[in-house]
Amino acid sequence: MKHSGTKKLSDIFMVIFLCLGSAIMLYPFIYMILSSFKENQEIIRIPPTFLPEKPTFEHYQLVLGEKNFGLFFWNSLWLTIVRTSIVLYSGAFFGYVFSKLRFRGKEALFLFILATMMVPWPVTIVPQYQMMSWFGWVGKYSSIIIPSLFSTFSIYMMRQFIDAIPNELIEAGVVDGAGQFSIFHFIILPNLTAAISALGIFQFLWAWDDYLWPFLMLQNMKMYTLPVGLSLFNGQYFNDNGGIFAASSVAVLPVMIVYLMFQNQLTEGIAATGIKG
Amino acid sequence: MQHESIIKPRHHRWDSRKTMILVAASALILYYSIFFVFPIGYALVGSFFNWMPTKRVFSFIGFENYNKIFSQSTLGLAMKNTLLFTLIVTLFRTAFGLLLAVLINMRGKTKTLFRMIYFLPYITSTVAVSMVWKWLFEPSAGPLNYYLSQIGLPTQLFLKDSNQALFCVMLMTIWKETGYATVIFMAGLTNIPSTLYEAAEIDGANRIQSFSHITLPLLKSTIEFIVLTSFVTFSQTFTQIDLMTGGGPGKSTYTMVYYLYQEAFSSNRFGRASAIAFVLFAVILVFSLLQLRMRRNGGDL
Repeated sequence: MKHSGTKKLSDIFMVIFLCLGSAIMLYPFIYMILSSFKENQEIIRIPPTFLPEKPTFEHYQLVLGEKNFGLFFWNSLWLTIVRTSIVLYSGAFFGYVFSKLRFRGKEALFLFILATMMVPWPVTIVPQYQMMSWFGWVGKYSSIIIPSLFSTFSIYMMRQFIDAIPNELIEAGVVDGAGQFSIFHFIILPNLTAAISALGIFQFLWAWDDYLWPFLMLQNMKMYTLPVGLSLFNGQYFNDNGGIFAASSVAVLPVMIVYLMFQNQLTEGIAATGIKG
Repeated sequence: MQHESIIKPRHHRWDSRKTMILVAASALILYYSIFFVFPIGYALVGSFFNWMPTKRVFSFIGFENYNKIFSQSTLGLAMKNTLLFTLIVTLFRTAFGLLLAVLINMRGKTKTLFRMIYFLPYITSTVAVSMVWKWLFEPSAGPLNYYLSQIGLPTQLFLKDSNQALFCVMLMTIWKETGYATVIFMAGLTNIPSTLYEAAEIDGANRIQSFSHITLPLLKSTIEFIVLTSFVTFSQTFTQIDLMTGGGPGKSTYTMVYYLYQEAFSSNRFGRASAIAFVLFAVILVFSLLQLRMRRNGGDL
């Protein structure tokens, strides 16, 4: 590397640019967290304060207590984990069948599945709403879990990942007399940890962020997920501003903390799916 | 698919391979028929019906739904907003994502720190950050107007102004979604051998020349990936519109999906909503095919 003066100068500009950008990225979160500790009068005061003058936990007490956000959080968490696990398992299973087994009509079936990715979800949401009421699933978690048991994206990605697993591994299993199901569970799945964690992050974030469908399907407030519960705060008027910020923090901070803890693995995993896709 | 299946059929007995294929194929056919093929057909048929589930109405009306939506100004407005939103957010996400990736990639120890910060908004709940941004844009007590007035600029109505509201939602979406593009581009950059840049430097190329002659051409497929996925995602934007503006002021921030949502779930007109869905489907299809063709033509060069 040469160190000419102009290069150093442009380096400084780049760092300043990146720092300014970082401030913009972080500002909404800082504002959210600080405001969640402010009293309601302080939030709407002009000029606005930066740090809370009299820090208060009242919004968190209200949100987690009376407003049931602890329950919404729990509902979101288990629902997201269940949905993510099913989609990963089914994705790996079908990915294996498409990648390593040979049968008539395989490529046609695969193309048919891929073609469904072209269909935007707004096309199916209206008829599916009607179907859920036929099935009697409106207001039940089955309306959220069952229509997303399989994911085309997950099957597609898993097939790509399993293509890279050497056939010798499977042959060794066949020679040992293992059936296909044992080969899948004991040879293929253990070799898919990288794929599972990469895809798992995406599926987790998507399921965690899912809003419209659960909003349409869930009727009993005790069953609400976090995004649905949060949207209750979004009335025409800002009555309880501190509540909005505390509830948003409850939805955002846990995911953020998990991300910060595993940020390297998570970012690499996400990058891996992007390159493959 | 160079290593096509090696497990050959065994003729002598019904083995686990056949069971697995049977289970997989029937599960897939059943699932995709119930949750894709049937609903698509149902929506297509329904778009020619007066379909109001709560009133138990389902009667054939021909092209009436299509005539109705094409005669109302809302469709044109929603289409214009959807295209504007999709194009601008896709453009800025790709451009900023690439710029940030290149800049962050040049940093040494702070590389992972910057990548982490820029990626942070992407992992957060859309509903939560929509509500936070709605408050940032609040005209009277929100912080943005306060900062504007501090530096001597006129305050704005932001989400309450029908000319600004859509751009405010775009701004929040660009803020939230750029980090994903940055991470993908950074992964793409690591695949470019550094010897190429060293050679260019020896030949006297500056950074901008290296960027346009090495980085851009080698990242072409990554750029295409980001543009295509952004296009498909943002043409179906709903959540932030619903939470930040509710389609307003008036109908100024109606997108196609928001329009569909209003027709189906506020007005209970499922037939008309299905007609809107197929118009959107057609537009997305045309754009995807156009992009595919551009890609083919580009590949021939």
